[in-house]
Amino acid sequence: MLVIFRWIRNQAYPLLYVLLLLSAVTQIFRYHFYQHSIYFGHALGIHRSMDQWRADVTSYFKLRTTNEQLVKENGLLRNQLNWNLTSNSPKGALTYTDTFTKSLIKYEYIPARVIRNSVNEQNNFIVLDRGYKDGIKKHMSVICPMGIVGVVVESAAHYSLVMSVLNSKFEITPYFYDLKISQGVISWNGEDPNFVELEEVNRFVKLKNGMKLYTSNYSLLFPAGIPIGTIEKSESNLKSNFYQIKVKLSTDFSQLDVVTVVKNIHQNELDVLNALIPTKSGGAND
Amino acid sequence: MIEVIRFIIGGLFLALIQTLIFKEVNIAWWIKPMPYVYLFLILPLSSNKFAVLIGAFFFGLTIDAFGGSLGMHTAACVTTVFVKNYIDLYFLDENSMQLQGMRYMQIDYKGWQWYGVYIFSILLIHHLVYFTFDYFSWTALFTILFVSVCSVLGSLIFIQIFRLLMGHK
Repeated sequence: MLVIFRWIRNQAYPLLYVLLLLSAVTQIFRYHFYQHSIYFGHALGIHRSMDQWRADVTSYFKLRTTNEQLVKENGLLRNQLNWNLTSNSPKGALTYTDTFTKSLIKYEYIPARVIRNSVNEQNNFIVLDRGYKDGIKKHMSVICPMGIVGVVVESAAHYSLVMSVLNSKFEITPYFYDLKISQGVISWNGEDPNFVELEEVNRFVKLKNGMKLYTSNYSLLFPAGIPIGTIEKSESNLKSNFYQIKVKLSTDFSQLDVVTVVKNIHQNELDVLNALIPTKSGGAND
Repeated sequence: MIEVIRFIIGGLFLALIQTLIFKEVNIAWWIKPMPYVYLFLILPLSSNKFAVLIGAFFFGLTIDAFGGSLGMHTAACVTTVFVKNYIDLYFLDENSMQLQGMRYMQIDYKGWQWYGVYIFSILLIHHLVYFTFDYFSWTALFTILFVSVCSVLGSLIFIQIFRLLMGHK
């Protein structure tokens, strides 16, 4: 502090000059229209450039928040989609109200963050930072903006365990958008985390590479229309009635960060009915 | 104290002459003489530099107030007085001047050439600052230089007239 005072005392004359000059220059820019317009024109330009630069820098720090906001917004938008509704009335979905839930909404979306993930195991699991205190329960599906992620198999108070699509026990029936059919079973063979196998598709179905697969409306866990992947390669032989199909997953599991847990409001009813259907394995399949 | 009052009255007089005569008389677009700088040239070398700087500020402010050019003469005056300190260090030797009985730069001190360069440099600084703020454009850089040099020459003529009228050496 003493050094600063000493410096000010030593530089008092130049400082006084700068002060008086600034006072004069302020008057010039304040009272002379021409100088005022030029100065503030440049100042505004610099100010805007600085703003742009600052926004560019700070936007990187806000990416996480922005991502979370987008997930919330996606949830809200999904709530407005037709396939999210319990049924379509003849006069339009929005006029229909379910007599039991008193709501049009069939699904609710709970954003969550992936805090643990693996893609290298035979049976991969994902841990989310949301649990039953946030409304997450067993058998809820998990999706992300790119596509399906998995199914909740356990939920603690604040965390949930999700069976990833990259799990040998995970199975799902896809919907062929181009063919308008739901057929076959998708499962992971434990090899490449970018690809899954699709079996039990009749070899008389006309498949093409690049066909898009979505979750079907037969799914008890996933909402219909969520991307699964695209057909990478399909083979058939005369010994079998079914194709051997390789599907490229739309979800990049190595980049998972923010996901959405889908809560089916009618899940209890479905669980009761589902219990009556014998499953061929103990896994979470639909 | 009397000397301070003399300078204040002299300053007011020069400010009035500047705004009533030199500002109104249009000699040429490239000559705008501002001989009031003479006030700074006859300031005693031993003057308190802080007081002179503040005085220059109010002197410039007075001319601006009279002439409606707020800030421009003030900036020029303040800068001139500030830079003059360093010019004085180069041109003048206080002890030598005291021995010769001089209180400010005079022709007799080192001859016409030194005197001319001294006055020209101080006037040029003043005029450059003034016209820089007046034109306030990079594209007018050469115009600023041209008008400044021409106006300095104009101011020099009027300063010599002041010198003769006031009997200063």
